[in-house]
Amino acid sequence: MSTAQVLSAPDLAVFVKLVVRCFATVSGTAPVFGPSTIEFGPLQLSRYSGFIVVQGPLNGWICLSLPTPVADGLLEMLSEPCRDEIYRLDIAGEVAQTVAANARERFGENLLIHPALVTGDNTIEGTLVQPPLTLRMPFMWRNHDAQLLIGLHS
Amino acid sequence: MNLEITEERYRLVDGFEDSVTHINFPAGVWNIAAKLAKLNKPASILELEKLTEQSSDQIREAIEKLVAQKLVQPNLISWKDFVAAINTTQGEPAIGVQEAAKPSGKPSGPEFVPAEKVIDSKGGFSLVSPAVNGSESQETAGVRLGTISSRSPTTSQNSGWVWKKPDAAMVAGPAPEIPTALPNAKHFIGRPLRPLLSKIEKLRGGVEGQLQVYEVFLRVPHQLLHAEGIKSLHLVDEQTVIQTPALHAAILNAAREVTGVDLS
Repeated sequence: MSTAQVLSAPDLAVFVKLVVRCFATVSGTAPVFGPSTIEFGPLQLSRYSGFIVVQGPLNGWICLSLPTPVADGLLEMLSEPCRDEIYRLDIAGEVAQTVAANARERFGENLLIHPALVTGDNTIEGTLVQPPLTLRMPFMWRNHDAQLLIGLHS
Repeated sequence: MNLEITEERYRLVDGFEDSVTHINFPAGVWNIAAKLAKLNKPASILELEKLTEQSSDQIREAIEKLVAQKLVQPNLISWKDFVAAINTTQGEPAIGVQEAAKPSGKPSGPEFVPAEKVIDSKGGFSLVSPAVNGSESQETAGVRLGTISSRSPTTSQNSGWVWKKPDAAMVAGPAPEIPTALPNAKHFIGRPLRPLLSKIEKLRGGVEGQLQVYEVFLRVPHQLLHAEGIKSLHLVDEQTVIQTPALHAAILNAAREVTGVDLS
């Protein structure tokens, strides 16, 4: 893969596939993605969000934003009895971190992928900036809505 | 509302001189850039038309090419400046067919006779364009009266409005030749965004197709999207109609860069 090709549509699709694989591996149920939107205004995030910051030909972040039922569902799948804030933050960060690690393996030196950051208050992580255009990819997992967001600076 | 205020204006980007290296255009395109540089202020297509021998179509095409190369950009103004501009006009006529023909209120300006609604021979309503008194230029009169849209074939005859050329006998002085549409609307009357999104998306299909649309829009100048008032784009049932040729050209250009396909 050449540097120029990094983060073209097929490259971005890698992140989507990794999210699908992660959910499917943990729970046996793959999320189903719906029609995307490109957002130009403030984002409406779910309660728990894991951010994967990328640097390379394009800079920005990929965010996995999960509502409480999805975080609890994943904890249940991992046989984790606790359902408190710390565990929910932990699972949101863990999923993002897993995606980040696999993406790092896929892209190698062509893309710098930072350790995942996590928030638990419906907001963007404090050190990050929302780019002008964000791709919002809603998905459904076990009858619960969640979203994958891609925010790259042009 | 004065159409001159709302008419889109363009200006050279900052650092224009540094950006033109290695870019080749027909002389007609550079001529428009030269006029903008000479004016040293934003200008509309109508204003540029007065300064050149090029037609509005040629100017519009040149602007699109310059915008696509990020050499020219639409002039954006703040709400405060917009209000200030509105307040500096006198006898502010409001948007709309009937009000476009109201007396301007300018003591020294041309007088407009209110339009009359009449029933034509087929029983449908018509808006008889007002007599234009004095030296109002054909162009200005055309702009104001050109906002009257012709009767849509799909609307009933009883509710449609029809523009009629003024009766020469009613006009003091030579009857102005009035264009049937705004100059800006001649070839660009708004294009739905949905077909463009579909074409881009279908080049890859599925999730990758949606990601490709995002990739394309990353390359479209944000100012153009903001100026169009677009808050979000739904990749499946988007209803937006692109109103500015500059945005349309920028999307086509970005799509060409990303996909290598000319979607125009």
